[in-house]
Amino acid sequence: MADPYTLLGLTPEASAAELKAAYHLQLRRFPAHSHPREFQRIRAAYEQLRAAAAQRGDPLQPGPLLPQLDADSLDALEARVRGSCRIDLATLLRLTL
Amino acid sequence: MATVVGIDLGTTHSLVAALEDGQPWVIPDEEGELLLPSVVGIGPGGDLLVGAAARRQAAAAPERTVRSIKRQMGSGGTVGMAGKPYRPQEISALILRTLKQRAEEALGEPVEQAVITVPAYFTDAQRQATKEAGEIAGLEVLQILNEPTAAALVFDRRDDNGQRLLVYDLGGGTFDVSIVEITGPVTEVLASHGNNRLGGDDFDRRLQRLLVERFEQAHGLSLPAEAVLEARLLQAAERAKIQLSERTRVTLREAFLHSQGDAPLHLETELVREEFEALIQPLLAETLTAIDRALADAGLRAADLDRAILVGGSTRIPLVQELVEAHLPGVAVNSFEPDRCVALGAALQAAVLDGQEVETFLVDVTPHSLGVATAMETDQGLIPNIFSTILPRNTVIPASRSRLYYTMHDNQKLVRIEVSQGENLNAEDNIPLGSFEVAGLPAKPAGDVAIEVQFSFDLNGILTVTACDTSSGRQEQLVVNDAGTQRLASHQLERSRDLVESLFAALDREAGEGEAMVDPEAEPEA
Repeated sequence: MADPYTLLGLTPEASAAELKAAYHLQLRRFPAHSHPREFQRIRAAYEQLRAAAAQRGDPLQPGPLLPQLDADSLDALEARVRGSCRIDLATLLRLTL
Repeated sequence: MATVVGIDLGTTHSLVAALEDGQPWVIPDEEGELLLPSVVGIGPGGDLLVGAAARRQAAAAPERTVRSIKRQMGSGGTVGMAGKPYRPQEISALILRTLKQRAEEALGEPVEQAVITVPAYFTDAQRQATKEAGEIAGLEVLQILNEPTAAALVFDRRDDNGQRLLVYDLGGGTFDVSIVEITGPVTEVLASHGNNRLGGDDFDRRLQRLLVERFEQAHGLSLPAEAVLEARLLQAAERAKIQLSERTRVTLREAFLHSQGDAPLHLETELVREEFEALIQPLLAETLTAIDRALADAGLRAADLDRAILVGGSTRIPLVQELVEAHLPGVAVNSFEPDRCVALGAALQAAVLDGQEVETFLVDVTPHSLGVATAMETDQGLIPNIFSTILPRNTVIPASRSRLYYTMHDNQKLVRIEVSQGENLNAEDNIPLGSFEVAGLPAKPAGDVAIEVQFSFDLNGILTVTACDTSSGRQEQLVVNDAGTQRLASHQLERSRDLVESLFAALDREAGEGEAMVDPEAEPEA
């Protein structure tokens, strides 16, 4: 199979927007109903490059939200949790048995 | 010169449209009506009735009338009309033949080719039955086009930046949701989902059951299960449903439904919109679940949508719009030519396929997964009939994909390729499309012989499955739905065509006799 970049007339530096524009340009030249073979090749190239971009991490696609917690508030939370469940060994044994 | 048309073959109504000066328009009948009721009947004198005339007799003569035939398409059964069995394709062909004639009269030229729309979620068998109906009606079917896709084709607020639309299509008998991306003249379907047995007809039936209950409560006796009574109450339910889209309460009166001794019994009851809404709410909840799945398949969230458009007569129900709006917060929800846009889009695509200068480019998907049955060796032993997907749902078509499979037994001589369509892990729960064998495999240990199975699916819904023994190059093929290879079917097709033609010939003779009373040379202005 031809190199997907060549098929779509792109360089590996192409952005997501350029990729889509190139795909649209080609599918208008080779519509699915009249040029099924060419269309399938173009579509396969587009899907391949799109998947590759998704793996690289496309800067245009927002990533998942990561929780940002500062160390101080984490420590405070830990102290509070520990404080609320202080228990001595005797009580634990009594409760368990 | 012959021309091409687009036909929306609906559960309750059908339309035909054509392109004129680059613009699609719906062709009305002689009385100016755009919608042809999808009802076929045999009149009291044995004459064929299609459309409004058939619908008028539906309540009085249900045994001579067929409605909502779209729901039977692809079922393989028959329906009775005036004591004779008809295949669903034949009934649909009578509707298509009527629309063909309407278009020919309006355009003044023969119509031989058409694009016919079907719900996006129609299965393979339902699509083929629709295509066959077109052929019986004397039409070459250029393409079977998905209804929400057709609607999206005529979406007129296009720009080059790209917009994502959700098309919510709730008709008389079917529901579809498609996620579509529109960029300039390019319309790309990202995902479709739906339910082939959900629509206005179901709302009517629920309301009809409520009316029966009301009658029985009021009179303290049960209503006999008679076809005429059911048909009358169904029509009353449909009328009430339509009125409840405009008003918040309606009063229903059906006189002389039944009798007790000599006393006639009537139904008189009031319905408020909330009661109707409570009846259909569970059905509409299913459509919201379908929205979520289509979005997930498209890899999008509701917030990624620019707009939702409502298509199909049942979206006139205020609750539909309310629920869709509540389900897609922040997304503009608009109604868009709910009756006409599917036919208009079909006409546009017909012109494209006819090679006319139309700037429309379409990329559509296959709504159902296609694959083969396989077996898997596990700790629990051999598990047969595991569905292995080769073309996943929402794959852009035309498409061609292949996968490798391996023999299960030492010295295995043949493999059987069972092709089916569906989303169930158990292949037996999916819809079978056909099977074939590759024999003469070389004697080798289990797993040493690789079979490459390739699926090629084209825009006409023809699936070509090729299985190749990679060690010897020996291959076998199965073609699903290729009219050319279905010799058996063509005999049946011929018979159906003759039947439809003879029914129409009788109709034309009568029409001719009617016209004989008018001077054909008279000036139309007179």
